[in-house]
Amino acid sequence: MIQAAFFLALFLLLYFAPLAVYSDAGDIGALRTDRREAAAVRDSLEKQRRQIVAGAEALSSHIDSLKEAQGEVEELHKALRASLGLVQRLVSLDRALESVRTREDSLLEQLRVGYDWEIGVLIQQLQEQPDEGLLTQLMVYQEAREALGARTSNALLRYDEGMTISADDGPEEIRQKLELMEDLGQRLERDERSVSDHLHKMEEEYRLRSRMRTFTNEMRLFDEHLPEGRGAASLGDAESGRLVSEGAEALAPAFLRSSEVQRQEQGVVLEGVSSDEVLLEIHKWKARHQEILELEAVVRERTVAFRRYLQEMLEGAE
Amino acid sequence: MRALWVLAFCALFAREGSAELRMTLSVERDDNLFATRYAARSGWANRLFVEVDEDLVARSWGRVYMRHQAGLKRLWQSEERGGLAGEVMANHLALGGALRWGENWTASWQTDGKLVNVQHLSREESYMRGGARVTGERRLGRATYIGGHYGVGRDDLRGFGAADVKTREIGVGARHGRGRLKSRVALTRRRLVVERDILAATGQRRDRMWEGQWGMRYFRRALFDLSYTFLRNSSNESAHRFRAHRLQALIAGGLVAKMDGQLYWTLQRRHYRGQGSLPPGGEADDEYAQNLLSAKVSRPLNEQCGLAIQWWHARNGSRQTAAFYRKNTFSLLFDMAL
Repeated sequence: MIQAAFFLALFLLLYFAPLAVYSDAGDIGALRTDRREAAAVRDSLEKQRRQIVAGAEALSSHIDSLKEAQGEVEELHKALRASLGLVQRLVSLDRALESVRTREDSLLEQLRVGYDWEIGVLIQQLQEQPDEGLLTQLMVYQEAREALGARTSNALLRYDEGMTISADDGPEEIRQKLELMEDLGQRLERDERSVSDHLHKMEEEYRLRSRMRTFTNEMRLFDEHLPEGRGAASLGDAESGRLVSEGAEALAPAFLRSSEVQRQEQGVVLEGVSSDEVLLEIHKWKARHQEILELEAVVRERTVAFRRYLQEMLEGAE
Repeated sequence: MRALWVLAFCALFAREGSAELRMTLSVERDDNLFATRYAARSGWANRLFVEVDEDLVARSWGRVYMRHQAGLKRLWQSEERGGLAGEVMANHLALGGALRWGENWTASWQTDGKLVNVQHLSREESYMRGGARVTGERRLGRATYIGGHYGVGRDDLRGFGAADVKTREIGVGARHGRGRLKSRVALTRRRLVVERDILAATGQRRDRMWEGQWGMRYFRRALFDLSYTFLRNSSNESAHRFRAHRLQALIAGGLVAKMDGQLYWTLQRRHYRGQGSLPPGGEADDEYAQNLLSAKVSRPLNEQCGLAIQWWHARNGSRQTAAFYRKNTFSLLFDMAL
């Protein structure tokens, strides 16, 4: 009866508890849908904003003309009140837009984490056993992840807004962009160092866990972690042998053996120190490290190109 | 010779390239070689431990693994005058697997077989164990898991008067952790049936145990693992009703000059509540305590090999004066990993 209740409780716990909880790594598809929806909302808000701005500009012209005419005061007041309403709508729209953009950024970050996680899992599985299907899946995920990585960097560091050279750019603009690019390079270098440090720590943790596991496994194999409890020792025990010899009734095989106590504890075994989760994390961070290195290389290359372009421009001007 | 058999057995299971093999060979000095309460005798012993881990199948939907541990402990002297030197040989083979179901569900199983063969040692017993366990786990978010398990097991003890023990357990648990700190909680209900020899006067014993556990793991330069367990046992034999508290700590970290340090500590206190009749020779003490402490320092010699020294202290048994044993062991170990 108790077992049945236990099973039922377990089933209910597993079935219902997770419903309200959001899984950011597992639901890449759901995250992408959410992100698309957020983008659609942002587009709609931006469209409304453009309309309001256009309306505001028209109203502003109308107010100017009324001011110049200096006759229709009532009309002017009405137009001014309307412009105030437009400003209020613009402010609330801007707030909504900011909120949607923040949500988009958050979803983007969750997607990046989700892809990193899945890529880590796939890399580990591929290391253990090559599989063509897994490899294809990994490539798809890596492409998707790279696309997200570039866009995230753009958002975070204004990579493509300021970092391309247009025909209108003069030497001063290019110099500013070059400085920004160098700054970006330094930031990436710092990130790379930080990720590298973290990776080193994770590898150290993995190594220590493996050592612990071997140590505890050896102890368990020889049952050296088990306690003693109430009961007699086994018949062969020299000490209990002394007890046995004290009375004939003691020779009856009615012994509680020390092993009975130990069997109770068999289930309460020493907590195994698993290393699997750490290994997954290591793969995930390795993927991130690789990504930063690639981005760093791109930035370095572009910095050199900017510098050369600037130099050529200055030489041409002379 | 037996050591060679152990190695050959492990090598048989280890397939080239996919298996991880670890081996420890040690020589130890023990100040209470036979774990006796009175007249402790010191002596030397050798120990060999071999462990093989291998993934037999690893796919995106799951995996099947095999873990084999084998060990041999051989004492240099006999327990009785003119007797043979004591020896313990243990083999544990686990075959298990995991099945991923969607993104968040994992079902896993493990079957165990363990054989311990003890010769010429009175305080240890030979036995054969079999067990199976199924586990279901669900991921909530990225760092939280909840799950449950069901397991059965049976121990066949060898020797005259030995009792066979059947266990069944069911439990739920959760773990959470992001970054450096990870925590876990578990609740288990266990049933144990001791089937004594048919001639035994006390008949069958049936126990029901609740076990609650909380644990945490933290890593910052060193790895810290701490757990607390509460056990509550009820039995049809009132003498075996007890409550126990157990504290366990594991610390591992790098020291100077490429050396690693490991510290293991277990403290358990068990209080028996029932005052029922005990069989002849049964100890009626109410309080039992176990204190295990081990410190190990190891240093790699190269990529595969390393040397280590270890100190092990155990105090185990009744809390009454002179009703427990103490032992201190100093070991020199040679580690190898392939």
